[in-house]
Amino acid sequence: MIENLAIGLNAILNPTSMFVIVLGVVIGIVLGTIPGISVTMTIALFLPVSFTMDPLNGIMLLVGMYIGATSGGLIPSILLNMPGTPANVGTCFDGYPMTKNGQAMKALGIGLVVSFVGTLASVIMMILLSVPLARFALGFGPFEYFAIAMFSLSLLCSLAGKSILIGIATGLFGMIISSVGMAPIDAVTRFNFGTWQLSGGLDVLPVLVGMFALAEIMVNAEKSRKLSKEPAAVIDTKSVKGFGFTGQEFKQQIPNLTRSTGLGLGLGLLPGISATTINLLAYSLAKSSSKYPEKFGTGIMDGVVATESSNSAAIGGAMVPLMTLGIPGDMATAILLGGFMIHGLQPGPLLFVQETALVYGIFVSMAIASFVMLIAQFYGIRLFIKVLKVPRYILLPIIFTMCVVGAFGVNHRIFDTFVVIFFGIIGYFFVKAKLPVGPFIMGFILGPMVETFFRRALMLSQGDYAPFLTRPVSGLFLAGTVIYLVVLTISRYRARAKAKAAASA
Amino acid sequence: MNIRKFADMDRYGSLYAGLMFLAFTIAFGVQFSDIRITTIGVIHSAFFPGVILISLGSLSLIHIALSIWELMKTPRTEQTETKAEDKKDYLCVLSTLIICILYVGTLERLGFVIASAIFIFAQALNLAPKTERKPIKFGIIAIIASVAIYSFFRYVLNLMLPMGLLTGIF
Repeated sequence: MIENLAIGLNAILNPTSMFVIVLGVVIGIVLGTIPGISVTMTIALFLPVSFTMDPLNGIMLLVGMYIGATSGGLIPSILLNMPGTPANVGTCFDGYPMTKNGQAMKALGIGLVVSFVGTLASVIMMILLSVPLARFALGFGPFEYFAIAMFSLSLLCSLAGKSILIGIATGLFGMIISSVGMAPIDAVTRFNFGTWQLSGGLDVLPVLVGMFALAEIMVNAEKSRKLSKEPAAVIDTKSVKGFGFTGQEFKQQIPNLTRSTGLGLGLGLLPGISATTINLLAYSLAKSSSKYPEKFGTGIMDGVVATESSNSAAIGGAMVPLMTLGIPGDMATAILLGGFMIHGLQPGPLLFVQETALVYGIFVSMAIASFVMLIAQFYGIRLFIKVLKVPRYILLPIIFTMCVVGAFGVNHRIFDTFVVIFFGIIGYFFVKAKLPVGPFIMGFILGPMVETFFRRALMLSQGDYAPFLTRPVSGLFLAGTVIYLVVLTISRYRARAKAKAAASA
Repeated sequence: MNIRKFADMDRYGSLYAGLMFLAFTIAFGVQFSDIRITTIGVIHSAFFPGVILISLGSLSLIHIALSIWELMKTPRTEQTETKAEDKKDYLCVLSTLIICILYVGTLERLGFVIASAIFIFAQALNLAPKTERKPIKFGIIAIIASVAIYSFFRYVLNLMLPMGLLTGIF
């Protein structure tokens, strides 16, 4: 393996390749900071550009953008409460409150460092374990994927805030919205409300842009006229040294960082589970295993550490099945697969034999890209913070314009911009009614997955439900789902009883 | 009847959330019968949405009942006069939304550059405090921003955006 890595390093150790890596990461960060431009879209937009390069440089450009955009999305999530990409949704939950508490530098610093740790760990894991892990995941069928999706859905209960009931209802609401369009398996049109544009379903991007970006603009509008000076968040950059947090604070985050990175690595490996889902799962897992879950959402480092380390760790995980089996782990790697194909390459086990320099060149370039990402963002943070000094009444309309471009660019149709407006209104209502957004997003993303794998599994077993429980991985995850829900309900009940007792005392 | 008291989202938000879920359940429920049933697969395409709608409808009703019970249990107390700066400007929220709708509604006809320039200008004027409104400055920013965004996406990323009135000029 070391010999192969040396071949890979040799292939990319030239000024052109180094420039391509830096360019890819920087463009990825810049586009990742624009709310509404997803990682997928960033890579997709640059596919034609990569085609003009030789295969290794072309793929490295796209992989660099994948790493840059996934991490770059943390900046608007923390500074503006608008996720730069869907993979940074969870970062808003604690990142933005930290900004409001005057800890923007600390949030950005820790987010950046854990992103780097997550990316690097995932690259190392990818290099070491790609073949055996991918072989293991290859054995998974629809039973296992259904069980994993159910387990993921059960975790949304911990995102529900005070009421599990409202959390489940919000998750179901997300699931019914996701059922708009063509059904899986038989492609029957559902819930198109007489509009042909809805026949293809709702894309994640316009829904997220509406729920977050437009809702944020509307919340801002409530008070923007009344203030003579915009209430810019207090950001102390002068007294902040290094990344803005202490060694002790980082040390305290190591268990959370390890757990979230592990989650990103493990789930990132499984095709169909994207960083969008993983960052929310990591957040809920960090919350449920924390000694102070009530502090989540108020602006603590733990939330940022969980989401940013997990979404970055998912990069390497998602790359494993792509590189070794030709199976894209998520939408972004699906676009990357297209990147391979336009260069006449077919990812899979044969690629390791036929294109050793290319495969290991990509592996080494990903490790280098993670360092480039750290350096570029460290020196760029102070520049990005200046975004907040622009008055919001100017910044927000410009950002909305870019969001509209993002929504339009998904399918090149105006209809998606109206979807942004519709979900903007829903998102604003969520804010006003204090409804949790997390379960909605989880339901919206996981809903189609649950249905697809459930139906596929039953087709495979010819209507027999037993394999869901008798297959080891499927049975394990379904048992985990039940155990998790029971434990969560008991702990909530105990917490409520405790609070009641304290109040009566 | 004082309508303003029903705009108190802190008190009625939970009830409205239940009503919203119920409204969506009904809207989807009306469309439910239109789903074509095929024989492909063990379960058909209406099965999953059916399970979700029944669950969502039931939870909505439970939530509405719980919210009403909670409202009856805690009588409304007269709110103390809120400070002028704490009052929320819902008129501004409405005008913000209307400007956004007009923007996406005219995007294809006017083209991205013109529609975006007008949108940024109008929205900045709408959101800015009276003392901060500078139409010339906003106008210049709006034109520069819309042209820059268009040029970046069109010429750097090759993303085709609607040109509208400027077709053939850019």
